[in-house]
Amino acid sequence: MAEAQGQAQERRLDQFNRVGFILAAVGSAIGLGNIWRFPYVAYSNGGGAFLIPYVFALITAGLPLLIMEVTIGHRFRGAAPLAFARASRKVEWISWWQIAISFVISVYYCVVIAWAMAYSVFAVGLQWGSDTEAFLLGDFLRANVDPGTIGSLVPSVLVPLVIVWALTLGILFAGVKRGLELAARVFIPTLMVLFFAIVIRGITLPGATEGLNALFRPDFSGLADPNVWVQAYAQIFFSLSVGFGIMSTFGSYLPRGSDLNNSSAIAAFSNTSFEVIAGIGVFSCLGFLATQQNIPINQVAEEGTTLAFVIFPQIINTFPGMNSLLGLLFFASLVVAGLSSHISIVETYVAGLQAKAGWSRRQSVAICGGFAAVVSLVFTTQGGLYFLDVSDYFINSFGLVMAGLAEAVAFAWFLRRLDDLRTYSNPMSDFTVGQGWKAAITFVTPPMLAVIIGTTLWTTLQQGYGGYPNLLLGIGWGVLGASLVAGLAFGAKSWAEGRLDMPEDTGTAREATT
Amino acid sequence: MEGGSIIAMLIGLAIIWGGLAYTINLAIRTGRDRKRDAGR
Repeated sequence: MAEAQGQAQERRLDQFNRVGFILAAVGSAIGLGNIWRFPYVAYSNGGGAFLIPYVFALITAGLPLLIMEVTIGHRFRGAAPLAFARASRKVEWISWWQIAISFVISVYYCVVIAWAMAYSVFAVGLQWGSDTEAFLLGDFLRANVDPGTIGSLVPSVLVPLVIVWALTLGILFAGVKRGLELAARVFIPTLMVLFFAIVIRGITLPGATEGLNALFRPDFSGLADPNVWVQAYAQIFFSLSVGFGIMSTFGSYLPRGSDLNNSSAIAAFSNTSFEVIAGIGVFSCLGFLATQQNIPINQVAEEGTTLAFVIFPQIINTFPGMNSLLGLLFFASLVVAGLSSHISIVETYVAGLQAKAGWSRRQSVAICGGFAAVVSLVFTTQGGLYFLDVSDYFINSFGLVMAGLAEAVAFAWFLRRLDDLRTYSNPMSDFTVGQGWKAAITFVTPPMLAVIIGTTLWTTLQQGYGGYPNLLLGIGWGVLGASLVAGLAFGAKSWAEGRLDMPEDTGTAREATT
Repeated sequence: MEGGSIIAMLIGLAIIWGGLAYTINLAIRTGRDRKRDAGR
């Protein structure tokens, strides 16, 4: 009991203020996917017309879920699993499942940030040469092993990875106010400056309009294609950092009486605003490359690591001037965007295990962060690229969406806590949420997430993934299954006596506003 | 740029950036109101 009160005391002293929370939430939401996923998804799903289902998905699923998660954390005053357990022990396992998923994502996401960090150095003098794909796979990653084989450690990835973990854990060691919030206050403005410089350079390049036409040319026939709507919901879901347990954890760090609804909305709109601007920057550069090489844009339009580490080095090679500087800006922006998200992902299991095991924050950072850093070494091996790709596919496409679906169903259908949550958040928020919000989480989000899972499952069972051998696909399914088992196991473990009691600084919605 | 692309881009930016501006303005306005109410 004294231990629980001690944690509550520590929590009261170390909290976000409103701006800090918004910046931390924006930092978490804006990640690599905003830069390398959204532009391609929009381009290949109706161009300008894609913005209609995209905004619709934001309003009917993304924002309602975000508000729900933040309110859960604030209402039940604890890291995601503690908040879920206080809502009902029966749904606690869902939060641990999300945390297991966050763990898996964190151990490979940091490796991609390490690649971007290395490429920031390679940009000086354009060290990747003219064959950028051969450089990535051969010279840098040394991925000349069969998929499923581990191979030896690759020092050029290992060294920046150590820096990434040192930065992440250093920030988490410093706590919520002096770590997470301060980092967000530095990272977000830095990211904006870096990326706006790239966008301004991009739109002034010859051929940029070709790229922008490709991105925004509206194909309204796409609106009749259900898959376009599924892609819009999937993009919003992946982009907003919902389903990780991050937003519940962040919500718990807001002082009592804080606005929840509008702060969530500001974070959501900031994320989508950045995403659209990123699309303009990326496609301006792709239009420039296509014009220079005199090829159609569909031959250079890519997404993910291929876009960042193969196509963008080609673009940087072709820039009319200041190539190294622009290369440095691009990869530095990837590092900043990635780091701010990585910190928030690691925070979920640091805070979750701190609450359940009764560790101090520093103990939890050291134990959880140290373990995650060791596991991430698997992805710095010669075969790491393939493990990374397959883990990312299975945990993102299935795990994250399934856990998000479970969360929405649990609170809307099983516990029926949505009225309780909105009654709690509305009195202290700048705007209120009503029956529409409840209907969005109850009737819109679950079916859309179920369709996303169903279509991806069907495609994977029919075609496999990436042409990989069954062994590697089995590892992907194994990672997915292990995350669920870990969730169930941690959820089954009982809490220390008194830990589930609400701390003294928590009260009802009425108390929180007075 | 083509006319359709420009219109789509401008409408998209207006809705999304307009949403951001509205929510930030709302936060500033209500924050000011709360401070004023607290001073009374």
